[in-house]
Amino acid sequence: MTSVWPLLLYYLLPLVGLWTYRRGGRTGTLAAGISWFLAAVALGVVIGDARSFAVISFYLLSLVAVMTAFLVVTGTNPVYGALSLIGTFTGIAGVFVVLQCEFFGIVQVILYAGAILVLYLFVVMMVDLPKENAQKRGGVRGIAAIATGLGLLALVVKALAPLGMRLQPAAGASAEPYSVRAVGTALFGPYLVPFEVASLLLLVALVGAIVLSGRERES
Amino acid sequence: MVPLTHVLVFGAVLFLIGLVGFLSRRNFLTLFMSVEIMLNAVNVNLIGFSRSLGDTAGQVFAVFVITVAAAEVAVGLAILILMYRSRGRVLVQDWRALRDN
Amino acid sequence: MEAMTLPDLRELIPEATISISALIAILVGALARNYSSARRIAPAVALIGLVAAVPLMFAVPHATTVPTARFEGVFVADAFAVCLKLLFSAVGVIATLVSVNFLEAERQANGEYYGLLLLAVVGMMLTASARDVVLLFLGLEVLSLSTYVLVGYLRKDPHSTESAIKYFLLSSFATALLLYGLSLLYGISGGTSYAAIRAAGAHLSGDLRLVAMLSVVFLTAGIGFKATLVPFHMYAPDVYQGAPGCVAAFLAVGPKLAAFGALIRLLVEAMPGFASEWVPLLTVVSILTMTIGNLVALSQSNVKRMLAYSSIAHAGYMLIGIVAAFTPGVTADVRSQALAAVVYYLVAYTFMKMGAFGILLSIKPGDRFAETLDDLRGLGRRRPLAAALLLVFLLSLIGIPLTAGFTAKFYVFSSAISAGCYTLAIAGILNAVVAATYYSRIAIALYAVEPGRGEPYAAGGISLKVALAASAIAILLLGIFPGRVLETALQSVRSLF
Repeated sequence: MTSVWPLLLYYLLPLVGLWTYRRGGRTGTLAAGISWFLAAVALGVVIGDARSFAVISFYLLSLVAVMTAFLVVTGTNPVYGALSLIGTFTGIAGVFVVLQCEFFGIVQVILYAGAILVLYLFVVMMVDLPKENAQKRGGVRGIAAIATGLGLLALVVKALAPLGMRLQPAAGASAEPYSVRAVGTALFGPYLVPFEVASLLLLVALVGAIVLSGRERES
Repeated sequence: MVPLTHVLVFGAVLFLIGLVGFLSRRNFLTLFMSVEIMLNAVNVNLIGFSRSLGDTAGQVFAVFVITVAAAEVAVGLAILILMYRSRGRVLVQDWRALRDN
Repeated sequence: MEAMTLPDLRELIPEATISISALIAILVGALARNYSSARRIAPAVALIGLVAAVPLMFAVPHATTVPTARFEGVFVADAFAVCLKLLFSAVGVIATLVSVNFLEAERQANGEYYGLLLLAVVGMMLTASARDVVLLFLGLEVLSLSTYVLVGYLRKDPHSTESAIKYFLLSSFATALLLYGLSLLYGISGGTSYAAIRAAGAHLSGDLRLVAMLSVVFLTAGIGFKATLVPFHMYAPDVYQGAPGCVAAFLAVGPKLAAFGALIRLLVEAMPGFASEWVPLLTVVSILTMTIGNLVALSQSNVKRMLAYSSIAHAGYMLIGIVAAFTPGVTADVRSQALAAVVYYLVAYTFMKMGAFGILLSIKPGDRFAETLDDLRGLGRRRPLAAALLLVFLLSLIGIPLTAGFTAKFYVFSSAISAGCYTLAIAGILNAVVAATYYSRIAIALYAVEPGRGEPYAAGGISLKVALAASAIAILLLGIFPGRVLETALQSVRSLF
């Protein structure tokens, strides 16, 4: 079994980075970050079965995603948060490419980074959000949330560990299950009804957004 | 090749970052972005499983997850604008009118 | 590449009909020159769509038991689905009738309102028919998105906006939890269809049990949010209180029915192999849900909040039937009776809860609709009919014999006893006793000697009266002649096995 605990340690990097930033300023962070980063890359290569470019890219890209996700939830400025979120989405898109789901990587970039985030930033700029008061965050609630998160993480990872061993590609699986053609055929074949329902969903979103934020009609 | 477990752990870490963010933060947009991170973690899981099972369904599912995320963003931001128009600011602390007395 | 064949979509005709009338209603709202010309047309379109869908459900009975090659199993219109859809149509009709008066009083443009209401009903219907987790999730999502907008429909009202924002945030969080659970489920079963999940669940090996449990926990969170199960009930009182009154009536019933319908189908068709994970979890959740719902309701003075907590408690009672059905070792007969009891409970709950919320819309002391206990004080003298109707709904919510609420509780509790879930049955009965106290507080206020305030109450419109009277009659009929509906429920549930 491939060990998952070193990987978890690796993903704790953003916490260390934040801690050193609070303590030692930018230089300290940079030093700590770089050393941990190099160690982590080495770790990733060791954990991975092959010393291939794809494996290393996976660990690097996933770290980028985790780090920026961490910045999103800890930051106080929503604009920076939204910009960090672009990093998360792009990192995940890269992971999808590494996993040979190129189509999905492209969709991720176009839709999330391209459409959803633009909408976000648009609204953030429009409503002029106040910066959150840093002192007000955290406290008991934050600690409780972090404790819950870490506990759940241990549980989830423990549960997921045997899955990697068990999942084998099904014998009769199609040769190219990740290709655009396979996804398209599935969408218009067995998943035609969900596909139609998705159009209803978009209609609801369209009408809903207009109803809620549109101009008041004279009555 | 990257082992499936590592993809799943990556998904789990992302999901829990989003979850902790949602539970501990007080800013509408941060809460909102936390949910987006959680949905992305779901996609990571689905793609990972899809790859390892050699099955297309996971990817199709992920397409729908993205669709829903986009639709929710549209409605959610409309509600945010509505909130901003009535209050002039958007903080969770302000949502006090409706609660047990 | 093989030729693409268009699958047989005839089974979708009822949903399509309602969707089309939703579109027409939205167009009417958009094209109407002024407010007054649209206000009569849109609800009429909504009613026509909902009523027209009913014969269509029977006109295309099981047309696609002939499985088309590439369309097997995502969507099914069996007797269980048709039974639930009939109920959902009724919910839609009552919600429409209840809304007319309210929207006119608030002077809201209404085309979009009825369109979104109909689309919410379509979402509910899809979850009842879903045999694939993707469709289940999309159906729930159509329902959620429409209700977000409906809750925030009164744009000038800060309470409406606040409840929309709370509902939206918590609901999208619950959706994310549900999706994570579904992704794990996909991982261990290798497919998204209920058939694939069932096959994987039949021989789940030891080391996958923990994943199965996690997935069940996340699914409970996601579906439990819609069904207002503890601890995902917290939003309900706030949202029902702040939402427009007619939307609160829909919200207290619609998502809950959809969640329970989906839960029954999911447990029977997809996850019988996961029963050892579900049953202990749902047992605890059921007891907590009814107890917390009832205890908190005791201290409420706002009737909308009190009804919200009471609806949480009722979700706990319904869950008793589901736990009873899946307790290991029960016979097939007991199982289908327990599930039929749940379906019967859903029917009874629909009329009493929508009726109780609807009454509040017919009473308008001052410039807003009745909300607090004080608003209802002395209603018995000044509006004897409205007070009598509310009394019928309250008696049914308490579970007094000869009302639907009594028979529903009776069936659910007796199914729990025959399945051997004595703890649940006792907890349910104790809770029913506790609940009687706060419902009687409302009843006492109604017939209090000293009248509350001096202003005259504005009367509700004709459509509201029709809806309330029909609900009250339905409750009495269900209470006095329960056999027919129970038999239908039993047959519909048997179609699942």
